[in-house]
Amino acid sequence: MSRQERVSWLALVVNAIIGAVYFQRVLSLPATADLFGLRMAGFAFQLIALSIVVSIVCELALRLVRKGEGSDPDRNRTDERVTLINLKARRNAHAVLWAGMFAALVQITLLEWAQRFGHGHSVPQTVLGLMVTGPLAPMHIAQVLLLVMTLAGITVYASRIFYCRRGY
Amino acid sequence: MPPTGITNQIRKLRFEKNEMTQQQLADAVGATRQTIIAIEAGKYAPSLELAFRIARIFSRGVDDVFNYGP
Repeated sequence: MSRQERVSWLALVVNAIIGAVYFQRVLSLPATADLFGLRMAGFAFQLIALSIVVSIVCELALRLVRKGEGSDPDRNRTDERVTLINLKARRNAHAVLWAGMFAALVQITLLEWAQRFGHGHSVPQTVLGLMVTGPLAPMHIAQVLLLVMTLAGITVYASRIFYCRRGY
Repeated sequence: MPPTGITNQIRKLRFEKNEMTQQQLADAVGATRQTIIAIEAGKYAPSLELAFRIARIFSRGVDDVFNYGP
């Protein structure tokens, strides 16, 4: 396994864990929850601490693996294939970002139309339900955009791993 | 036929050149060992520049190292 692939695995695991913990918590909050409150700020700081701990644990695990393989002469080397892999991974992430943004815009527009044309809302119980049925506050839209950006980030690392394994 | 449609003689030429390792070839052409592995396996088609650099290491023409054809 190349250094690029190891680093991608590390970033993928950290992003997936942090993203899963964050969105599992936020989307299951009651619909009336205060997303600007101190509890949310505290949760954000907890996540930052968690990301540092997970990064350190994964880095130590990677070093243990590397220890048995000796030094890596390609550690700081970049060549055309590595550049190509990075470009393709970013292209995939861009596609995910674009699709996510488009889906978010469609959802926001549909909710706005539903409100204008007088379709009644069901009463959502959670933030996730609120995102589906509306009405959306700016902070809810920010959560949708954050989710899309997280998915795009995960796509970058997953794509790098895929292309490294495939050859390019 | 490899996925790229390009076959190569790199493995054979490496052994003819004092059993040169993949890492030595990678160092000589300024690529990573993973890239040399991918090229040898036919999973990656190198740029023209890298193909020329590899051919130059073996003192051959590009045509002697790489072949393209169905």
